[in-house]
Amino acid sequence: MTVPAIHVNGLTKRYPSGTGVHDLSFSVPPGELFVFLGPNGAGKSSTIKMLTGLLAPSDGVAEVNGVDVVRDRTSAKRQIGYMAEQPFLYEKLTGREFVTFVADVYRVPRRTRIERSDRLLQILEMSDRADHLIETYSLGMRQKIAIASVLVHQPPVLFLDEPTNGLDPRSARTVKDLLRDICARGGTVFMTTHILEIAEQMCDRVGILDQGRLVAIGTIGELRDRQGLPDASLETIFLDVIGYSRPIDFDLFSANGYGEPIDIEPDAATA
Amino acid sequence: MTPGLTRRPVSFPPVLGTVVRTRVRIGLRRIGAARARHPIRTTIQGLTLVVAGLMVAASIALLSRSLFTAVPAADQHLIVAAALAALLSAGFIASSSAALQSIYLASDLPFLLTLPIPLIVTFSSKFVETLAGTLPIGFIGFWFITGYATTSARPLLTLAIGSTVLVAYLVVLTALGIVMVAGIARVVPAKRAWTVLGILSLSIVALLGVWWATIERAGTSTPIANVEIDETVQFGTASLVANLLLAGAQVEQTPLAWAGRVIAGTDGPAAVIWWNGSLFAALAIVSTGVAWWLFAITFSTGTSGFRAASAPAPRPSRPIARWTGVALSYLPGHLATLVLKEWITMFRDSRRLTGALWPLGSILVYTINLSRGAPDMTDPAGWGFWQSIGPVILLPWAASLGTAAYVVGSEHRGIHLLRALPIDGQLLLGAKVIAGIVPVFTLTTVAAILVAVSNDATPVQLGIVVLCMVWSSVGFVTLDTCASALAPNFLTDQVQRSLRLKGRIYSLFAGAVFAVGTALVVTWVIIALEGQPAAIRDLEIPSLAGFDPLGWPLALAGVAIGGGIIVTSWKIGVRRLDWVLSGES
Repeated sequence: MTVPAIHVNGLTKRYPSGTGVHDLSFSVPPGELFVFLGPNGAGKSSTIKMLTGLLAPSDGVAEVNGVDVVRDRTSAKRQIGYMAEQPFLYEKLTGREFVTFVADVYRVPRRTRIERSDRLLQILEMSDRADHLIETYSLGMRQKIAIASVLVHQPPVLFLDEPTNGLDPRSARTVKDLLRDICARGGTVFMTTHILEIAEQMCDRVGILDQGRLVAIGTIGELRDRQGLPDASLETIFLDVIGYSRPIDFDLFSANGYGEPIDIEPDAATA
Repeated sequence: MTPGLTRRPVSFPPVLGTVVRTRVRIGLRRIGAARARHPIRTTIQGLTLVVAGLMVAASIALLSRSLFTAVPAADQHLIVAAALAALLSAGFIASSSAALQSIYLASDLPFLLTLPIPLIVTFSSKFVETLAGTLPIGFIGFWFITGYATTSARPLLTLAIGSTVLVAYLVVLTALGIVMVAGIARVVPAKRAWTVLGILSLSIVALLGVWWATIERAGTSTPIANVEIDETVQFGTASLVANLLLAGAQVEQTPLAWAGRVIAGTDGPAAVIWWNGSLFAALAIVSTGVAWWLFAITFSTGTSGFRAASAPAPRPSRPIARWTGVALSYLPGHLATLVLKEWITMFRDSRRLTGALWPLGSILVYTINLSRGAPDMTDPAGWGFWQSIGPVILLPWAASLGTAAYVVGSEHRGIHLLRALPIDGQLLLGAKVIAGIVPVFTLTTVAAILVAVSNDATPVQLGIVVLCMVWSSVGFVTLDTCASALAPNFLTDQVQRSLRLKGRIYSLFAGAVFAVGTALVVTWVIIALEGQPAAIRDLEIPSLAGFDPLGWPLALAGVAIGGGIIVTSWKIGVRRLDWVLSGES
């Protein structure tokens, strides 16, 4: 029997102010691209942090490639590549040096590291800027370096929090293709995104989290059937699952229209 | 396991090497980047630092030499122990604020914890980072030991042994800093850790200040038994030696005396060095072990052992906004908004508050030391009061050096937002100055009133003290804010590095000029209030074109010097901020 790439059973996180994640149970087989969706504050980041050993669960089990994340953190981390929503990068290193640093921590042999980092930087169109300091990079360039650093040691399981943040359409497409290719070759990707079109294009299965509870899981087809919404887009399914209804009539703007000048009281200094 | 994904096991030494190499590279690049951008300026700044460092080093070494030549060999370990005790409060504040910054507020720690790096490697790297924060204490200690070594029969051996003990002392300080911060961080959220740390640090400083004040009083009233002081030393040094010996005697049963006996024992029996050295080394090992244990139990399960990460951030209270709403309503709209933003961020940003630990400590020490209420024996009588409390008037300088000097650089990425707003340099500088003056004035004036009352101030003297604090707070905060605008460093997370060297030098220069102006104005006020002291009357200073030079010309000169440097600095600051806000920087 194949060991699941990710196995979660009864995972719970309690804070003094309340329970953030309730009794989560699911498995992700190797080679799957699993997208985790949920409204803001649903518990997605807490779940990813528990799966990557950054946050100790209050209850339950989290395993990556059969390794218990809580009991054997260091071994579990060797199976993982984790990119946070706002990835940390050392500003005073160049992009190439940062990728090298991460590769060295994972003890990737020198020749392999050079080949892989060169190829990744080329794929992500960062070869020209790889030897500039990270502090000079734009948001998209930082994101590309973070992606390269996560992939340089070729981890079996990737945890990616909003991987296409700040990327231009071409780079976003490259990353999507890259992730699909990784899954085709046996790697597993667990990602979160708020861009549902991306999720719809890429994912094998979707998990929807709401108020810390896993309220739906399955392929898009299974979710359509479950919600009774044939041919619906993922956005429609998602909004239906979390129970969205347009809460307000947008009466924010005055009857005279949008952009009406505001009466400003003059400053004492300028009056 | 996915096929084809073989990898080497992660082991301690190579990973440690990778982490250390990267940290060193980042450090060198910081220096290298500045040198490449401004080679001449960096060289001049470097040379200035070297010259200033040498002057400070020579002064410490000479003072140390004169102290040790004044006491017999049998009592020299007491001087070392007392000196280490004196450095303790500064060292403790340095190590605990460095620990707070390098471990608990560091943005790279969560990233390092996602990598398969053994926790001991992360701890070692963070320990060294914290240790670097105690290097100024190491600098003072090294030159103090060097001064002592020149009086020893075996100077090189003394220097070698002394330096080793000093490193162990810094290790103990670092471990204590980590232990305290780790203890706090496990119990209270990071946002409040600074407050608890600040109260604890200041309590330690206060205790040491009270201890030293007690010794000074005892030293002036009690002859020191069993100690011979060389009569040739100057009166000031003899008094310091006496106080240090008393202080050393009081810490003789503590680990500080173990260190003292090792450093001062090179001319004596080797057994004393081995025994006391072993005890002190054991202390360093045990304290480092405790620091590691606390670090490990905090971070062995990721960041969840740390309250800041395990609990959602508490909803911030808005007392500042409530209290200040009425006062700020009198300011023009934009200015009030900026001042309020400045206060709210100032008191909620623990990184910025770590910069204020030093000035708060110095205010506390001066308040305790000057609140002695010694009888006034001067002629005319009021001069004794002013001599006692004189240094208090310069307290705003210390306070603004730790707060106002960082206000522009600590905007960090917020400067991009400010650039997008419809504000100019004058408005921003004005807001930062007003925001800085209020806490500095409040804190230092409370200290000044305490000192004045304990020195039996009359109501008139008290009123003048408060006026002096207004002058001093406005002046020093304005100058340091302008210096902050002159050379801000927006690229650092550490508040102490948010002002570049050029700004620091300008801040000291402008502060010194303003201090001269302040001294002249205050002297005029005191003469007008109390009359001329006998020493000045005896000088029979001739009149200047029919005017008494100690009359209004003195005040005019003071106001001209003080006002001149403020106006000049303001113009420089506004120009510089306009440039920064224009986005050309």
